[in-house]
Amino acid sequence: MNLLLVGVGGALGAICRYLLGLAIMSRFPKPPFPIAMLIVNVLGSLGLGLFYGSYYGAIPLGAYEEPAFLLIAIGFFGAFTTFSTFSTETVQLYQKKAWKPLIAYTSLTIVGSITMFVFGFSITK
Amino acid sequence: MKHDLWKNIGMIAIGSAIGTSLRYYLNLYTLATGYPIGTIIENLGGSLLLGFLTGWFIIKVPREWLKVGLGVGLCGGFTTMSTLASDSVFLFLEHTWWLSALYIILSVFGGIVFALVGYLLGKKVGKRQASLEVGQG
Repeated sequence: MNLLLVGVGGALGAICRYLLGLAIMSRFPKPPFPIAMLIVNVLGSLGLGLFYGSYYGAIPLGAYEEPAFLLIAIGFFGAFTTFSTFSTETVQLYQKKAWKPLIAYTSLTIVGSITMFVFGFSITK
Repeated sequence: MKHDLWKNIGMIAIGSAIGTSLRYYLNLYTLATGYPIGTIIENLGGSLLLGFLTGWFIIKVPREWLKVGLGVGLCGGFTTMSTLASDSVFLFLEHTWWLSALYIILSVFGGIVFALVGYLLGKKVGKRQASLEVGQG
């Protein structure tokens, strides 16, 4: 049962990431840095903050038997956001020696994701 | 085109369901440590794999459904940014600021290095494969 929740949440999260990514890329076909995954990661972190704040009022560490945690936190938002695309896109900017976009992309992603998580968490807590 | 989109979506769903399940198990097995070690392993391992696939697929271009199934689905579902954000805040609040900083630095720099190593390896494998095929032709 747990695996089903995690799998369904994960599948839905990745599909949403893919479709939102396609929509952003069709609107901004030539961005200076990979703006699509930046938006996805920041949005997903905001979403997880909102969920933790409203549902738990805390950051749960060991809620691995709880259906909502598995479906929404581990499944949906876990898979909606991605780290591997972030690091690989950074490598591609590095290969192109695009230093300014590289710095902008990495710092905006990390600072943006943490800040928006805190924002979502603190307004609903 | 419409048909292809559904095929891609199906492969992404399968890939991510597998990637997310693996992430769930890793988190579960490392839970007793009290530290987000699982997420570090997932993010570094997924970066290595996606870097490898990206380098390989530049030389040997695969079918789109295979590329998105493995990249967007499997690697995307296995790794996560939202948990990285919540973990770093958790460490800051429950432990110390330097542990949180260490976690972020290890994840970000480690992930980029792993992706780079994977990318270079993948390119090498793709080139060797391509030259073998030329030799046979």
